[in-house]
Amino acid sequence: MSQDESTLSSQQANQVLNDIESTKHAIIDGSRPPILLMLSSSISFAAIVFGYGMTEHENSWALAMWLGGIGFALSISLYLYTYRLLGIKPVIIPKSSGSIKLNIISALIFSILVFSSREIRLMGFAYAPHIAASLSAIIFFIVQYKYPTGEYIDEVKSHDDA
Amino acid sequence: MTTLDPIIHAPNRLTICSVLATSSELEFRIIKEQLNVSDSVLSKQLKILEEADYIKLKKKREFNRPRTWVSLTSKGRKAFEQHINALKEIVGSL
Repeated sequence: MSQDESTLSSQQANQVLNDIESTKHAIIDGSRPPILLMLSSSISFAAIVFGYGMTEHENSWALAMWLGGIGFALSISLYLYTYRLLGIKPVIIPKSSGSIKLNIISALIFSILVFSSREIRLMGFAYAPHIAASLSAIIFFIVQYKYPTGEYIDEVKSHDDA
Repeated sequence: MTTLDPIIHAPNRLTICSVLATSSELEFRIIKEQLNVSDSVLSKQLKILEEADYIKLKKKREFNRPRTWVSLTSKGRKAFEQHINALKEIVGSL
């Protein structure tokens, strides 16, 4: 690759961009935590959403919500510890524009799911917590799988089409 | 128009910034494995980035062994994002 930007052609720039994305994916794919750990944190999160949706005057679902919370805290702690052993510290406070957007969108989606699980059930649709909890688990698992370090990574794609 | 950053543009330093952009901090060993270079070559490249205030190095003793953690500074993260934008401009995708 030429070091002189004036001689950097469109094809070379395209190659560099593809290399950058491949490098990022190599790190992410090579260090992804065990699927079981991601599953346990997703299921614990779903338990919180389901418990919140079903809770009424401190009934037994409130306990389920607390147990889900403890399970979630434990799995996230183990998740961070596993990464630390590997030599990677995931992003907790987002810094890049991509990860800020990712965190805002995730927070919005999860907030809507948590609150709608209860509100829609109170409006009469009994299965709202079941649906919200399932969606939460699926979305949380996908987010962890695709962005395990908390940083937004583009899909590997060619920029030739420009 | 955004211009390419001459400090980041060198292949090894570009790879270092790319891997650092995936997380908050990375251990020296992980970056070395990714670049497939010797300790001295990596140290030299890291020094250049550190002098430009693009990265921060922290030496700690963890799990009974010394570990060097490397992270992009906010200046480095911004410079890397601008470098990517400059590359995209050359390709014409911006």
